[in-house]
Amino acid sequence: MIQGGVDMTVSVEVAAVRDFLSQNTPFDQLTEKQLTQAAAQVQIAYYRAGETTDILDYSNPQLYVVRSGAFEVRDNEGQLLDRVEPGGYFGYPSLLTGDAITNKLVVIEDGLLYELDEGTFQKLRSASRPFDRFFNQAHAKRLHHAVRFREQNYQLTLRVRDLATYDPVTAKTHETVADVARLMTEKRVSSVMVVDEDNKLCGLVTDRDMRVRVIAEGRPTDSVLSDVMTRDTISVASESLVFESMLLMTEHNIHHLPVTENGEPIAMMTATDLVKSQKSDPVFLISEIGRQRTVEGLKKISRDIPELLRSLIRAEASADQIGRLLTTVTDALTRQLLEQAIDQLGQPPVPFAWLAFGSQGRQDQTAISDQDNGLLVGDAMTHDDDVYFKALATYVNDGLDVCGYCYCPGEVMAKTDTWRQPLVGWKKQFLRWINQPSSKALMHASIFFDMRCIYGDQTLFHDLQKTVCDAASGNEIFLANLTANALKLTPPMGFFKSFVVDRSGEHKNTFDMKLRGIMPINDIARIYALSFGTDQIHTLDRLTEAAAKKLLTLKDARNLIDAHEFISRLRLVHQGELLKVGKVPDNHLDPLTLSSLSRHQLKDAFAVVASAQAALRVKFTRGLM
Amino acid sequence: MFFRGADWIVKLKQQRYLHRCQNSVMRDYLQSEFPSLRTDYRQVEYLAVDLEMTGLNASDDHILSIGFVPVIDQRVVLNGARHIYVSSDQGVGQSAVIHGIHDKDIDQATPLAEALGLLLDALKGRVMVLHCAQLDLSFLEQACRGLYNSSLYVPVVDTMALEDQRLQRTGMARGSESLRLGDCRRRYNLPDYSAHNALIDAVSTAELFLAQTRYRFGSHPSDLRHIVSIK
Repeated sequence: MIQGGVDMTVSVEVAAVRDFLSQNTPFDQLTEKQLTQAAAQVQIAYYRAGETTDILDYSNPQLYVVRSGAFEVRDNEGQLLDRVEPGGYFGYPSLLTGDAITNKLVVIEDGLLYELDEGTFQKLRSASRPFDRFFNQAHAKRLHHAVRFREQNYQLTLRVRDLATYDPVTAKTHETVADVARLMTEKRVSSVMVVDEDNKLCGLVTDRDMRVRVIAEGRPTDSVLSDVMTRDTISVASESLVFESMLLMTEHNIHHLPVTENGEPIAMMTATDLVKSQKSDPVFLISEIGRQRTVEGLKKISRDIPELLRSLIRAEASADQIGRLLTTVTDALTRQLLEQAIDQLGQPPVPFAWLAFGSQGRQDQTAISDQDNGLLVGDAMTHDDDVYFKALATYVNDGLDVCGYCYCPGEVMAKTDTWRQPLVGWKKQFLRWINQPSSKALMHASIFFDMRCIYGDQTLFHDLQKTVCDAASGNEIFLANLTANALKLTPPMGFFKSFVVDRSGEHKNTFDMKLRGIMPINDIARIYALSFGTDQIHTLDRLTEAAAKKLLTLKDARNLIDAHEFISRLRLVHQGELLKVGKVPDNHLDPLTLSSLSRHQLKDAFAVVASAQAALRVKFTRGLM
Repeated sequence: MFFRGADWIVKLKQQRYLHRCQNSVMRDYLQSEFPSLRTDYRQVEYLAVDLEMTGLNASDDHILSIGFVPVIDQRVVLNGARHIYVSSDQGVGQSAVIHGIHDKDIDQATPLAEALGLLLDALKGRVMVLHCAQLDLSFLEQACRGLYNSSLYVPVVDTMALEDQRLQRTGMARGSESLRLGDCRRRYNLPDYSAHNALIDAVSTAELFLAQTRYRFGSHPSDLRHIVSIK
């Protein structure tokens, strides 16, 4: 209420705006007075769906509160960073860091934005701790989100230009310390590059220099930069690798690295930039998994996995790297579910080990992942103890299903009584396969020989693994049966127009990349591995070791590894395309979609597999089959 | 609508009103520079205004409150917003039910002369934005004549008229769609405000104005004369 209606210095409150703000954290944490003051400074803008330009004012960072409609924040490469709905905020990162706005805004649905100017925002931050904390945390989260999806960061090939902060702050040699200190404060930077008359870099002044060379040495503040700057500055070219600059910084113990082009400074690379890039690893995703206390929380994170896969594909990571990375994520999810289950059920009564089979065991998971797992329990387990382990396994299996790892169609899951056994039970099962093999019994057993311990007591696992290796290696009948099974899946011969041509002459218009391309190679690798009793599980590692043991020629091993990589990559790209359009990923390749080069390469890959299969037949069946 | 070359007519009329007017408050207002009708509408400042009255008839009823908020650079600027309760000898009467204004609010209120002075001051150099301009203008006209013995000369954008034009452009029969403020707002996905007073309705009108111009012109320029109504 305006007293007497003449007090023009006090703004009136617009109840509708104030009430809206007060419904949203952190505005609900403000005092009545702070809230009223904030609401009075709001400016309201309206945008239409589809607009992208002129919304974020690059020269004037503000806090934007979505009042109605829907907005998307995208980075300058068009990657989605955030989708903001009524009550949501954007624009605050620039206000917090002082960095220039680089993101773009896309209006998804017509709506109103409340804009709060920088001065008011900063005043609220200093007046209210909850307000300050909220935006700092939101910023950390967003940063994390953004870098997580920046594909180029996964590579060692990341270049300085991708990371460094552009629009660097420079000063001339004759400028005074006081002036430059003011400049640094104004620009919120911790260092200034000093240039000569030709604009060439000739030195560097940092916060530390100000402390060490000015204050500590009692120099006057009107000293010129040339007296206090660090000369012979180490700098890097914008095209150099981030990796190299990391080495330089570590080697010389420096935190600022000017980036130059033809001697002129164009950017500054700081230790902070490097730390940010480090966070981009899927390692970050995994650390987040490690913090989740509920299945619901894990489910939320697992929704990011398809995006992780897509960005890895875009980053041209190898199929091998992608498989290992995706499996690492699955492993982390599994471990976290086990920890959650133990939190709820209490400590296990006897030691146990969680086993992964199949693709998770081999570490070559893709976009489609069923679960294949089992529970290995110490022999001290009593009948009553199994109640605990059944509950544990059920929690994990159900949790994985919720996170998108569907129940195994073949029921190979720890929650089933068959695949939750004491050590003695597992040994018996494996020895039955190995010592009394029949190709029928082995048909579905091959995944068990790609076994890895994900969690729990490693000694239990090693005990089982040793038993399996000892029994299998050199067991000709077992290997012959495995080989006979493996040879049932042959690669096609090649392509004719839109058809896949089989060796039998049969035509089909689709090709199952997993069944006819990748699995045969996995089978070959497994048979070699079992023949000499190695504990290697990864297909490429098995092939490499087989070559080292001279069971395979190095050339054949390399060819198989290349074929595996090529077909796997084709499969991943295909799955990435399907994910992109919101379809369920599968393994079916339509030959029509192949380029002529890919057709040739694929045909070569098939030939490699076929000849390796022929060699396998000679080596392991020896007329037995 | 103004026509080509209308700026000089505005100037002429401005001079004529000034010549006839003796009151210093009104003279002060009339001496301010009026926005050129050939300016890009986005570079003009606006003042969205809403009045609460005791009724609909300017000669029998009177103004209870005035709310206004500037629109500058395509933004509703809340720190320029004012909400003025107008004092009156008569009580609020029946309309308190509608407006939620009670006699006790009016007790702390501003005399009409002072309230109108504040409004005129805020209107200087700006275009007035009203929803259903005719009604509010008739009350303001009545007040100006009574207090200043002068007519109110001001460029006006009527959001209701803009909406009517838009509906006609899109081929809707006149009268087929409601032109009430709330209904117009809904067509632009603007939120409903539960409470109503002169200030909230002024803000509502300002937001509607932003939405209408965004829809009509996008990010393209357009002369002010294309949206201003006659007065």
